[in-house]
Amino acid sequence: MKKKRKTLQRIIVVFMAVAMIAGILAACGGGSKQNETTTGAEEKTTGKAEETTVQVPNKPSTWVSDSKLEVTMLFHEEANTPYKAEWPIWKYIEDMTNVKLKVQVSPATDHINKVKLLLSAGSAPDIITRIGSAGVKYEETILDIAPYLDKMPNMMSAINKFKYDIKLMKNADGRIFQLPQLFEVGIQTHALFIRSDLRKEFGMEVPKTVDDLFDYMKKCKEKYPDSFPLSQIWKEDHLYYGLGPSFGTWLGWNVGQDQIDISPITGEIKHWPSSNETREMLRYLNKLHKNGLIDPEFVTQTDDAWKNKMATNKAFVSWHWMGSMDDVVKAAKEAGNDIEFEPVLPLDSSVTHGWSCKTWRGGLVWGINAAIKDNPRFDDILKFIDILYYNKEMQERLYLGIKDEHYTEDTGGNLLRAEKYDVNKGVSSNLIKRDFGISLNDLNGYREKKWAYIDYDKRTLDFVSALVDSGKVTISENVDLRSLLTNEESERFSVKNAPRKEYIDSMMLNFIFGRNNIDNDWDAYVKECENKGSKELLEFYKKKYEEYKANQK
Amino acid sequence: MRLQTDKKNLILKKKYTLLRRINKDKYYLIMLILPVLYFLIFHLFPIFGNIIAFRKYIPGKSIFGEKWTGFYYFNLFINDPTFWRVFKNNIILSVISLIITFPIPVIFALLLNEITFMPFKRLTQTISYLPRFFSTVIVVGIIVDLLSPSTGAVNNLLKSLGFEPIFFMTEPEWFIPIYIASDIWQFTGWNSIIYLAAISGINPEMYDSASIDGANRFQQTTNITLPCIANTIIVLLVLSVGHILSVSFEKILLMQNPSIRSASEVLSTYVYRMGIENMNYSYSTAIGIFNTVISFTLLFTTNLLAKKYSETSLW
Amino acid sequence: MITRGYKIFKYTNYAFMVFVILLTLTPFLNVVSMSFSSNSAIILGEVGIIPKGFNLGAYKRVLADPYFFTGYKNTIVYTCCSTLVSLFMTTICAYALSKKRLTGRKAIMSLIILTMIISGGLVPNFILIKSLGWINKIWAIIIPGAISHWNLFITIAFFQTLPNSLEEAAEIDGLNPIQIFAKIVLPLSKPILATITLYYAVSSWNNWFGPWVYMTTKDKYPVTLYLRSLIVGAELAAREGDVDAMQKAGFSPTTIRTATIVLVSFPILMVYPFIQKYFVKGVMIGSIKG
Repeated sequence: MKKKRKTLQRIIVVFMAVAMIAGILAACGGGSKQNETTTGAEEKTTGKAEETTVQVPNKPSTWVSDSKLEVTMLFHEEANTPYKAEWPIWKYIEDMTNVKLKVQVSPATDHINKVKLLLSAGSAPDIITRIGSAGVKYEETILDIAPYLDKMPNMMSAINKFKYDIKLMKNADGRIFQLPQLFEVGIQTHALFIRSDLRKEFGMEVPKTVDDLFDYMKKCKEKYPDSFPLSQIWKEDHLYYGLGPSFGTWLGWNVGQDQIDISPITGEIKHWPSSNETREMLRYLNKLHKNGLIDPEFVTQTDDAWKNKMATNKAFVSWHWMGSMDDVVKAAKEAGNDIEFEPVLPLDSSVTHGWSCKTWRGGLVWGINAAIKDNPRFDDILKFIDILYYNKEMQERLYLGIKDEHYTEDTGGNLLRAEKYDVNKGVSSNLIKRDFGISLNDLNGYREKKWAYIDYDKRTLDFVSALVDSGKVTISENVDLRSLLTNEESERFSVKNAPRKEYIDSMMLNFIFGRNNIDNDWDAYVKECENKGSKELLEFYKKKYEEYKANQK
Repeated sequence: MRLQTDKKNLILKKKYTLLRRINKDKYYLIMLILPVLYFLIFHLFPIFGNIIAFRKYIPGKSIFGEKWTGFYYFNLFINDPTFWRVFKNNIILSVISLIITFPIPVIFALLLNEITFMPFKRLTQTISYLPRFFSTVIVVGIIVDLLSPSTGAVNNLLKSLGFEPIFFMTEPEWFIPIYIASDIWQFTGWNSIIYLAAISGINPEMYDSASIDGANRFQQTTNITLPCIANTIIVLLVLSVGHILSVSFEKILLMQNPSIRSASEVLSTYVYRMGIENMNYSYSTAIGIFNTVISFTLLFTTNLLAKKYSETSLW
Repeated sequence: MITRGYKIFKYTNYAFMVFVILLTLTPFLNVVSMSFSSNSAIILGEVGIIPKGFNLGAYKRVLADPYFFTGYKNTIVYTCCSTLVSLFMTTICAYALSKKRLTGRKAIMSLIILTMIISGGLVPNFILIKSLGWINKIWAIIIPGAISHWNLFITIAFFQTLPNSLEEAAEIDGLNPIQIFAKIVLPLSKPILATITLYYAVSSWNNWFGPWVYMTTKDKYPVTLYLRSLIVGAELAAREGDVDAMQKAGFSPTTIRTATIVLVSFPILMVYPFIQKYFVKGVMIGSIKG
C-alpha cells in the first residue's frame, strides 16, 4: 500500500514536471519557428513547380507559365459587394493565365489592421489589395518594385499610354512600394447639391459664387423659418472637404494628420488650417451660422437624421456624392413632397476661382509581399501580377466582363452595360459586382476612358463632363508628402501632431459658431498653431520636398 | 558530522513533507494540469512580446525588435504634457464610471429580488438585458438621435417645457454623464445576472428563521441577502478596480467630435489619434506597460483592503 | 409582518420595473420594426415601434446570401464548442483553486493574476497560434480564450461559499476529490454554472475578433463578422468617399442592418430565459438535508 502510494507520488511529480517543460518548450518552439517563418520562405503554397506541364493548344497572350502556379491575395471586401467563391472572375483569371489565385478575404471594416497584423507576423499573402495611404510605413515588408520595372511591361505601357509620371510614384529614396491604379481619366462625382425646385420657384439662377449660394439659402430660410438650409453628415471633415476648394484651401478628407499638403492648383506647400484661405472660409461659415443657414448638427448627426431633414424641408443644400440623394427624393415623393436636387459646379469666391474637391485618377493601390523575392518562381509571380492588374485583355475581362453578355458596344464605339445591369434603367451599379465580381474597384488597375463611364448614369456623366468643360476639376498628380518622411521622422512629429490637431479642430468650430471672433482672435490662433509646431513641421516638409525634387532631376 | 546528517535529515524531511503534501492534494493538482498549461502557453508566453516596448521595431523584421532603446518610448510619453492631461481625463472618467456603475446592478438585483410575481420577474430580467446585444455603433447612433437638438426626443421635451434645446453631444460637460448613462442603460441588466445567481444560492431557511425572529424585509435584505452575496460583490469590485483604466475605446471614438475632444480624450483614443501605431508597436506597448503598472498597484491595494476588512479577497 | 411602508415600496418597485422594461424594450422594438419597414418610411422618420410600409425585402436580401448561412452554422459550432471547453476548464480550475490550503496555490494564483493584468498583444498571440499550426482551424477560436479570468474568479468565489461539511462527509464515504467535484459540488452549483454558461455563450456568440484574426477563408467566418461589416462597413464606405458603395443599393442600409441585427441576435437572446430556471431559490436545501 505504502509503496504504491510512493510510486504514485513519483508519477505525479514527474508528470507535472514533464507537463510544465512541455508547455515551456511548446512556447519556445513557437518562438524559434517564428524566426524561420519571417525570413519569408514560408509561403508554402506559392510557387511550387509541378513536374507535369500542361500543354494548351492556343495559349492566350496573358498566359503566365505552363507549369501550375499558385499566388495568394489578401482581398479587400466591401460590405455591399461581399466576396463569393462562385464569382466567374476567379475562373477567368485561371483560364487566362494558368495561375491559381488563392484569395483570403478581409472585410473592409478592419482591412488596414489585418494588413498590419499579417505583415508584422510575416504571414501576409503575395498580393495585398488596398494597402492604404503612404502615411503607413511598411518599409521592408513590401516589395520595392523600382528595380523590377523591366519585368512589368504591362504596367510600363499603361504608364506611358495614360501619361503618368513614373517619378511621382517614387519615394524620397527612389523606391516604389505601391502598385497604383492607372486610369486614363479620373471621375469626380462629389458635388454641392441644392433643391432645384425651390431655386426655380424663387426665380433664381444656378449659384455661381458662394454669395449666390448665401442668397439662395437666405430665401429658403425665409420660406421655411424652422429650417437650416445647409446640412452635412460625417463630421466637419466632410464640410471642409466640400467647401474648402471654393476658397482655395485643402482641408478635411485626403489631407491627413499633419494638415500640410501641396495645393493641387498652385503647387505651394502650406499648413492649411492657419492659411488666409481657411480664414475666409471660416468667415463665410460664421456668416452662415449668424444667419441661421447652417445646421449646427453637422458635426454629430447620423445618416438617417440627415436624410430625414433633406426629405422634409428642414434642409436644402448639402455636399455629397452623385446618386446619394435618390432615396431622399423617393421618400419625399411618397410623403407627397415633390422635390428635386441638382448638382452645382464648384462655386467661386472672392478669394479664388472655385475648384472641385481634390481627387486622384485612381486612388487604390496594391502592395506585393517582399517575401516573394525569395520564391524560386519570383519572375513568374511578378509576371502574373503585372498581367492581372495592368494587362488590357485581362482587365477588360475583369472590369467589363464578357462582350454581349455583360456589356455591349454601340456603333459609335460607346460601351453600355447589358440591359439587366444598366444603371440608367434604375439598376444598382453594385448588382453586376455582387453577381459576377465584375468591375470591382480593388481588382481594377487599368481603366480606359470609355470603360470608365460604363457604370455611371447619364445625369452623373452630364455633370462630370460639365465639370471638365468648366475647367474647375482638380485631379491631383502630386506626390504624397507623407511618403517623403522616414519612419523616425513621422514618429517624432506624431507626438506633436495630436495636440495640435485637437486645438485646430476645436478652434475652427469655435470660429464657425462665433465662440471666437475671426478678426480679433485669428492672429493668436495662428501663433498658437506655430507654438504647437506647425511652422517647424512646415519648414521640414518644404525642405524634404526640395530634396526630393532635386533627387528627381 | 552529526551536523551534516542533521542537515541532510532536515532536507529529507522537507522533501518528504512536500511530497506528502503533493500526495495529499494529488487529485486537485491533476485537475490543475490542463488549466496551468493553458495559462502558461496562451497567457504567459505571449507576454514576452512586451519586450518590444524597450526595443526598436522595424516593419518586416522580428516582432521582438532589432535593437535596445531603453526607456526611449517611455520618455516619449512621460515628457508629453498632453499625455498627462489625457491620462487625467481617463482617470476621472474611469473613477466616476466605477463609482456610479458598480453599485447599480447590485441594487437592481436586490430590487428584482423583491418582485414576488415570478412571470413578471422573469420578464423584467430578460428584457433588461436586451441592450447588451446592441453593438456600440448602434448604441451611439441611438444616443445621437435621441439627444439631437432639432429632432431628438429629449430636446423636444425640453422645448415643450419652455427650455432652450441643449447641444448634448457638443458640450464638454455632458460627455461623462452621457457616457455613464448609456453604460448604465446597456449593462445594468447584464451585470445583475451574477448577483441574481448569487442570491438564488442563498438558503431560504435563513429568511424563514429571520422572519420568525421578527426581521422585516428591509432588515432581511441588509442582514441576510447582502452578506451572502458580499463575496461576489467584493470579487467583482476588486476585478473592476484592477481594470479601471480600460474604457470603451470604440464608444468614445464614435461619440467624439472636436468640441468635446479635450474632455473626452482618453489613453486609447489618444494613441489611436497620434497615428504613431502605424506599424509602431513599441510606443503603444510602452503605454500598455504603464497601464499595467497602475493596474497592478490598484489591484494589490484593493485586494489588501478587501482582505483586511472582509473575509474574501481575490487571492 | 408586511408593513404599510413595505407595501408602498412594493408598488413603487413594480412601477420602477415597468419603467425599466419600457426603457430597454423600446429601442429594441424600434430596431425590429425598422427591419420590417420601407426605406422611405425610415427616412421620413415615421417608424416607431410598429413597422410602416411593411416589407420583407431586407430579410430576403440577407437570407439570399449563402455566406450568411455558412456564417450562422460556424457561429453555432464555435459557440457550442467554446462554451463546453470553457465550462470544463473553468470549473476544474476554479474548484481546485477554491481550496485555500492547496500546495502550490500561491504560485498558480500569481501566474493567473499576472496574466490577467498583462497581455501579450495581438502579434505575439498570432505568432503563437501560427506556430501551433492552428491558423484557419477551429482550435484557434476555442482554446486561446478557454478561461476568462473574470469568470474564473467568480466561480472560485462561489465554490468557496459551499459548506465544507458536505465534502467532509463525502470524503468519509471514500470519495476522492474528483468524484466529490463531479457528484456533489457540480449539482449544487447550478446557478453559477448557468451564469458562466451564459457569459461564455454570449461572448463567443459575439466574438468576431478571434475568427477575424485567425481564420483565412470566408467559409470559416462567423455570422458576427458578417454583421460587423454591414454595420460598421456602411459607415466606412461613406466616409472613405467610396461612390460605388454609396450609390443606391435598392435598400437603405438601415433596413438591411436592422434585419441582420435581428437575425443574428435572436437565438442568443433565447438562451437567457432558458437558463433562468436554474436561478431558482434553494437549490442547496435538498442536498444538505439529504
